[in-house]
Amino acid sequence: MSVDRLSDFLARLQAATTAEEREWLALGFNLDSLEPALQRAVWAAAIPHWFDAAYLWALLEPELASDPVWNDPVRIVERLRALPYVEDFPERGYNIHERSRKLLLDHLWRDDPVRFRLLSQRAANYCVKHAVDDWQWQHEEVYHLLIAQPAQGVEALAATGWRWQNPPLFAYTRVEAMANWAMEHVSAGRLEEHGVAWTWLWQARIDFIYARYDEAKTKLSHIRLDGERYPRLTADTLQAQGDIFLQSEEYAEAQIHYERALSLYRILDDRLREANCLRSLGDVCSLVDKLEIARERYDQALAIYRLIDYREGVALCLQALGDLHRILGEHVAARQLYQQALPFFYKRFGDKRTDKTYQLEPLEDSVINDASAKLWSQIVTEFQTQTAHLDPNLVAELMPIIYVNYKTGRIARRLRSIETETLRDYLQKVINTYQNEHTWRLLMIERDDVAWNDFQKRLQRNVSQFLRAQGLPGFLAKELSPDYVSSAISLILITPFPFDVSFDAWATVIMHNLVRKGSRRGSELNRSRNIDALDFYDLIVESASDLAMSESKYDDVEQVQSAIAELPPDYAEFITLRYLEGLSYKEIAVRLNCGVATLYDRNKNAKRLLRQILVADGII
Amino acid sequence: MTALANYHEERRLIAAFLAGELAERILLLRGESGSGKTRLLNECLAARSPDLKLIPFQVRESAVGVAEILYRVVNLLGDQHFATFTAQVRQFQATPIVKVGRNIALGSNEVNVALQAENQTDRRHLQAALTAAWFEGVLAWNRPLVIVIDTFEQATTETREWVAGPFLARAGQLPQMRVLIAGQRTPEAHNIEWGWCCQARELQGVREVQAWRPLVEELQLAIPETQVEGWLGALCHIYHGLPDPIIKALRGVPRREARQ
Repeated sequence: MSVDRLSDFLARLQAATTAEEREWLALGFNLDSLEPALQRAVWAAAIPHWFDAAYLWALLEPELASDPVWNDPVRIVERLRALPYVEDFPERGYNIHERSRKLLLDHLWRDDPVRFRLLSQRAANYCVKHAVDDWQWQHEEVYHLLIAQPAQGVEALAATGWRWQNPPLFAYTRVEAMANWAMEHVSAGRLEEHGVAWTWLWQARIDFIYARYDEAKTKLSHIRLDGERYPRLTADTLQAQGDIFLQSEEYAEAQIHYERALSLYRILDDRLREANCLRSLGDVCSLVDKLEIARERYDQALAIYRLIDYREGVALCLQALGDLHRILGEHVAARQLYQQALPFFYKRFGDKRTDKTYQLEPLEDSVINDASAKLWSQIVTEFQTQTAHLDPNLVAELMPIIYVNYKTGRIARRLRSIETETLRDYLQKVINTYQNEHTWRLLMIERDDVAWNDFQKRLQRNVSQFLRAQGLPGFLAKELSPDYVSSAISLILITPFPFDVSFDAWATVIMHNLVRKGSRRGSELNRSRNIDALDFYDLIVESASDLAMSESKYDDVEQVQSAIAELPPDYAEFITLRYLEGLSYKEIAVRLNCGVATLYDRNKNAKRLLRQILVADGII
Repeated sequence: MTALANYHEERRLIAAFLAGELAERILLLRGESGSGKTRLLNECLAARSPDLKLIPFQVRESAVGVAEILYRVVNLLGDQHFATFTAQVRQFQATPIVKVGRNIALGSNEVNVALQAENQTDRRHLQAALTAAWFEGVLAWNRPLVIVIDTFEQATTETREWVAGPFLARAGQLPQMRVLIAGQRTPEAHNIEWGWCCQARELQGVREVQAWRPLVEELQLAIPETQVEGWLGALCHIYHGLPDPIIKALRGVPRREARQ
């Protein structure tokens, strides 16, 4: 190396006009200082994202195996490690620093694309051996195939992406990483149109998943839609665009894109995606109040899902159809559809699992905080312990009940307001009630006409008594009660029963809340509260409906609880069993080993005493 | 590895940070590619006190994600501190959250990925629960712990969001924990949750010619003494002091012995 050469390098450096040119001069200057075999090794090492001796040798062996000096990959790697642009790649070996790697690849592609493809093919061949169980090697294989065999590479890019995105993996980070690596080729102009388009599609899907809708839309706009040449890509792109428009509440655009995707999926005879498209169209129609068309779309999707035995799709369609009925106020039909859908959601995953554990429903944003997450994890742990010995089908039926109780905040409030009740007690109560609640079962499952008539009569009697206790004349109470009963039954049908009180108690609360709400609205009732008419359920147990208690009601609950604690033990016990735990008089009589008549007296006296305490405390 | 010229101030800052002498418990080290972040970090980490528990991560792509960070710390600190976390993981593995959403292609029904869920809400819930349990374990460890995250710009969206959100928000609350994040991009320092205990530093390159002289001496480069200043000055100017190309160029110059 002469001083002249150094000066020459400096002169070229100063003459360079771009940063990239200057960078390449530094790297080239360094490369020139290496032996030719090592230079060849540096070029090869830039092809993969990482290398070790074995990987590098897979790329170089055909060329260096007969080299008497450089036929040892370990020695080559040792020399490469000493270069300033080679760094450690944790758990994999080494890699060429990203800046240098990009320069090397850009120059290799520009000057010798055939060699680039050759090295990529060797790399892809090596990756195949490792890619069986290791998704990072699968990434690497796709990355090299895109260059070595573009058509096969694009196919792998599409198939691998779907495999990772779909259930059960939902491995979005892998899809993102794969798309980012493919984007290296796209940015460097190394891919043809089809590969570029699939890369944009995956990038856009990731943006969509992370709610970056504008970015997703922009990326999808790079894809030239050519249904004849690339029907699959075009259909998937249209569907992705439809999803984005749907999220952006641009329903007309969403519908157009779904319709176009649908026709392509039909040509491709892809029944699953055809059904998915129909379901999406159903969603769009229901959102723009075209309920009848929505129903048709859901029905069509449902038929296909059933045909191809895609049970999750069936369940989602049933749920969507249930929603339509609910919108139309057809609560009974809605409930039936929901009940048909539930087993799919709650049994399918369980049935497929060896340990017979069941899915936990996802949570809403509003409940995601530390305390809530902690409670949920406690609930799940305790629930699994308590249901370990139960029939898995029963567990699958219980899980959604627990989840709804949790989601509505019922469990947290209950544990907060009843200090003596542990989470275990609560869950046991739900399990027992679910197994023993005959009234609910007769009404909701068996849909027994006699039971319905009895139940309505009971409700009517109850509401009539309540209205009279509020000061309404008998004839007026009798006149008003059927309307209240009718509304209450509708509400009871669509409101999830929490199973942590008796069904009668819960239904009574709903009804009383409804009457009270009516009284607030119409002022036909006297709003002053009277302890004789005071229903303890109203204070202790909140409705699970949209008539849920306000925060102030919980203050009442706590005050009543502290008043109960002041009662003589017999009375306190009775009140707790009857009104907090929802036991019937008969059940309490068995538990306390006394007669029902005694309990009626105890009820009367306990209420009287409680009233005195509440009045003395200024609560009523 | 060749010693990195200069960055004395940054070196002191990182040393003080590792020793727990800074008020801030989060340090963000930003610099463009080739500015020598990783090299500087490696030098500083190698010089740290051997008693300090330090766990480094390179979050390149999805190779090291949220789960890997959580698991590796548990393994290195000892799972006896992480009983709640371990139970939580087992529970989520046993009962993964799966909700089948719209427009998905057919897939297997075997649910074998504990931390995967279809939508972001579920994922955030899983992460929130696991992160809370994990920090319980870190708190139980009760000794100084330094987490170093390098190549942050290459992390996946999920990892970036987790680190910048729940992770740093809680890390900022733990007196015994310090976090150093390096990369071409780092989380935004003016974060309302943890920005109060954070210091950010940008590596600007080494433009002072004198700072590079020791390297020329160390490498015994065959540059005539009268031309060294001119050479280094030109390189520093052309490459804006960026260590990566400067070192490449210098390492391309033969050594004096080789000239003989």
